[in-house]
Amino acid sequence: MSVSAEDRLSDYYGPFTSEREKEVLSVPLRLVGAWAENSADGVAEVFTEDGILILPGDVYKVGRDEIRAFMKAAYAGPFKGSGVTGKPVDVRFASDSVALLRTHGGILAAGETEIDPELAVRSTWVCVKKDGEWFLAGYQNSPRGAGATLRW
Amino acid sequence: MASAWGDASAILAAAGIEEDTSYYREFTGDDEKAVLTVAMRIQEGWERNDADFFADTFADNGSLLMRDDQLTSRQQIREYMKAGFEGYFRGARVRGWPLAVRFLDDTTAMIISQGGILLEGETETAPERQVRVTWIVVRTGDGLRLFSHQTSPLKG
Repeated sequence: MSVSAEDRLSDYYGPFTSEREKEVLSVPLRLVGAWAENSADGVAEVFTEDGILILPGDVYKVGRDEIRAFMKAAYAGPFKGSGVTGKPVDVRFASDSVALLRTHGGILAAGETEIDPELAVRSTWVCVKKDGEWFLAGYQNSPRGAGATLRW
Repeated sequence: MASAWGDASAILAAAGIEEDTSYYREFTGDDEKAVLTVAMRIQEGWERNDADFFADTFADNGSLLMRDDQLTSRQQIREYMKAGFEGYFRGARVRGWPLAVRFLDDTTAMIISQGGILLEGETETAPERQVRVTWIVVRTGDGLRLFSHQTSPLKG
């Protein structure tokens, strides 16, 4: 039996069902959508013009141009055919125009539907509202589970 | 006109921290310096191994990711660090420097920094413990507070 798109969306939102929470939660959905198409442009456009991307493995990209170039190379190589998935575990507003989302998720290797435990991450999405739309001012992820070693 | 974010020297003096102006690097605007005092206060909390000093720098609903533990309130942070400073983190310090300071709106700022922890007796951060950090700082009626802190390992 197939699951409707509406059910999938409702499962994604989980307990975060207020209009303003759902509005911010559109940000990861846009990123997942762009990633599914392996679209470097699409990923870059989820960020603000000077948005920042931080990933383990010494990835620190500042601004849409750097993010676009990084994603383009990644989709031609290690991320080719991959997807991403994630589910919100926390939504908190710092102000009316700044929100923090936390998700548990990770990269899905080409053809996979479950995250390899070694690829499981905790992500923080720093979202800002500009001209009525939410964008990423910052995105960062950190290993989840056994990979979360001692650090500060 | 005085910075809406406060005066860095005054904030540090009130916290009993000697101002190290080299910490600011190129972020020497009054607002930038004020925001960076939050990171300096946290560093001082480590220096003193003082869980209360550390936790009181956070907002009530501040959040902190430590290893695989997502803490989501000042009280949780206090208890976690108290146990830490009495145990594994005894004598540990942290060092770091800012890479970016961004004002997201009138009351919210983001710092990106790099650095890491030095366990007791260590003189530099071990390569596997070097991190980049996202700090979210909020301006409240009660001064600047840390709303969120998360690190990602450089290696991995």
